[in-house]
Amino acid sequence: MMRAILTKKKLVLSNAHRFISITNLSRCISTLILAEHESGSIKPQTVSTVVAANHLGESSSVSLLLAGSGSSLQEAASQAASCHPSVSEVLVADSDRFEYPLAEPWAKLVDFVRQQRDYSHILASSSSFGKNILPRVAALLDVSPVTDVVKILGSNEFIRPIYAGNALCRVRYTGAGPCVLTIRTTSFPVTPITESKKATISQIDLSKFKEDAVSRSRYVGQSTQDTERPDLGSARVVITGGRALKSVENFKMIEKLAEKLGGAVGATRAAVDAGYVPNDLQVGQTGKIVAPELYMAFGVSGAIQHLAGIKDSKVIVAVNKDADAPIFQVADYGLVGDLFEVIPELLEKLPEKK
Amino acid sequence: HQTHKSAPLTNLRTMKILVAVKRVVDYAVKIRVKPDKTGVDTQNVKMSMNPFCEIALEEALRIKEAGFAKEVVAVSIGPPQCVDTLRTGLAMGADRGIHVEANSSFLPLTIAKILKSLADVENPGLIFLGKQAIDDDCNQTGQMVAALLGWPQATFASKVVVLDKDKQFATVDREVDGGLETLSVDLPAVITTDLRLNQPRYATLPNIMKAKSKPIKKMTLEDLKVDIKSDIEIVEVTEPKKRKSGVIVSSVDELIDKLKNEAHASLWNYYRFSGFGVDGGPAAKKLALKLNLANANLSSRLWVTLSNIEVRQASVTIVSLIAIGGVIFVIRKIFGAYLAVYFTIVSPILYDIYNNGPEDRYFSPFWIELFKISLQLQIFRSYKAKIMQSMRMDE
Repeated sequence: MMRAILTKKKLVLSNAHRFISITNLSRCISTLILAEHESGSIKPQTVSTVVAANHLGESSSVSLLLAGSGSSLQEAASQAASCHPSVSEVLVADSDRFEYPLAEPWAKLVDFVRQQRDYSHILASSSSFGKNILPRVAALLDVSPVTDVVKILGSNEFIRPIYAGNALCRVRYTGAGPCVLTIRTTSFPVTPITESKKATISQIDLSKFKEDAVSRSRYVGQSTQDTERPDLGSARVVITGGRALKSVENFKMIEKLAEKLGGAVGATRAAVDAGYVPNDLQVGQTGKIVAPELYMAFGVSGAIQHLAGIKDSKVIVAVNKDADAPIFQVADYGLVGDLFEVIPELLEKLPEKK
Repeated sequence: HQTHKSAPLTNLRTMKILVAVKRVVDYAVKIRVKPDKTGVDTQNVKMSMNPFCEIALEEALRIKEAGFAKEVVAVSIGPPQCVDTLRTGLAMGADRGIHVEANSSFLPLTIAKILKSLADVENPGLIFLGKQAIDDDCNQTGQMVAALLGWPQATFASKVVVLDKDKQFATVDREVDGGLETLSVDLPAVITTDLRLNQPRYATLPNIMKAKSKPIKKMTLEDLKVDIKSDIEIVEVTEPKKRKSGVIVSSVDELIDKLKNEAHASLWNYYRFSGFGVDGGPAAKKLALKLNLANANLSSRLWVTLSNIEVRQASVTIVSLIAIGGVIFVIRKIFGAYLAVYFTIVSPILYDIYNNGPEDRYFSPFWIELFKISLQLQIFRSYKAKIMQSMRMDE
């Protein structure tokens, strides 16, 4: 009889456990994603963020929030509606206030939208846009955000890199408010989409949207590089030069090699500091994180901070005069030699891209 | 919730700048994850001021030295050792320090709330922070302080920040993904600093001595009426997967070879010699050319139209003929004759005999090849004969 009682207890306990997990599942996951758009189309980082949102759980609805002004916004909205089958709705905020991605009005907008519909998760990519705006959103909502997520283990458990990627921290969000995340997009690649589904597009009523009239920030200007080369963050091949290149002229060799291989150009912090290349080419812990198929580093010593940005590359090739350079410890193929001889030889011997 | 409206600044010369500095593991240290996975080992490890915080403090000092501010106050939140970090800041030139006692490591949101409370007390015109701490790499605190205060923010500042004395705003260049963006922010504002903003100064010995007498005020969370927010718990800290160790190659040729054959980098899909592919590959293409030419030539000479031979079938046939012919030649004398026939017809096509005259460079290699093969086969035959002989002798 004791056995019967014990088994009965076990049954009750296991049933209770099942009951709890069922109630967890029934908590619906609805995600709001801060979308980035440029010249009438959604940026690939936003699509990666949608892919990440799918990892949050089974029943998830994904809404994209687009803000801006004018026809390019509406074009981007219509493109966003079919950018990924998981997108259920596109919210459009059309106003001059959002012409430039300033953190103050945008954060207020997210709060405004959230007040009208309850979201369990608010996401953005870990780009300079997302990193600038989302922590501000989190503070307005009085929640702790989780930034630079590389892996999603559940609706509230994530992995993010710390110490320049030399350690991975698994965290659990235990708060009551929405879970605010920025996603490292190189960890969530976009697979080609087979089904096409068009989401609904709704214009947000901004009549009740109030903004701070007192202390503001204003957009003055920008200087961006306009190249035909692939974007550094999403290129399949990245060729990087370090300080050993010694001049802006010499960096043209790197550019030629990148062009030959159809890749993007990257640089180390030292090269950017020395003025050989503009800052948006910097790869590393505080620059861009890249994860290409092929990463070639010329004259790069391999400082911890630089390696943080390239660890997820499939194949790393390093060329350096110094056989003891730390880069050789992470490189799959290393060549100890003078890059001023190796690069011209490579340019000569590499077959043409068909 | 209420937005913070600070007292209007009548004169920038009385402006205070608050700089938050964090004590972190030194950037050059190679960190180790604790075996129990609770965190990173920070015992007996060199600690310093976060490099971005140094840059933030340096910028604040430069603004004060340019006459746009009166006082630079350094703040650090953490265990008693933070006082060392504050002393470094004072040695660099900060006027006074504030140490907020906290033993556990707080989440950025709590730090932001502490800084907000301090700002309510101190009323600074600018708050400078480093864009991120190199230990947790969060990049959140500055933005959150700005939100809690309702102040504008200029994050990832590079290039010198210029203050306008009359109009009370700052012009900031920011490093963004596409390049540089310039914003102008009304004061009071929060600015987080990026790498290229400045080169922090070293603390000189006289300044280090002076720093010993500068005041450091101690405060607690109760003083500031801040509740600790702990809505994120650390489950575990692990090491990332190590990359397989690589190889050192000795030449560019070897590198290209390895990339082609070993790396399987999809890059090389562009160049790969697809063995046969759909149409037989490059080797077959050449064969097709030769076949067609030979066909044409033969038909014209023999007044017979030879049917079109499909290249793929031809290549397969040729390969198998070589194999079979060789084997049979060794075993049976008669088939050697067949092989000779094969050699006279097929190989010439391969070696372009019909299309080239004796002066062409393809001509002689054919005969050399033919000679080589027949020689090898003769040797095989003699070996076979010897074996047969020895077997007969054994019987």
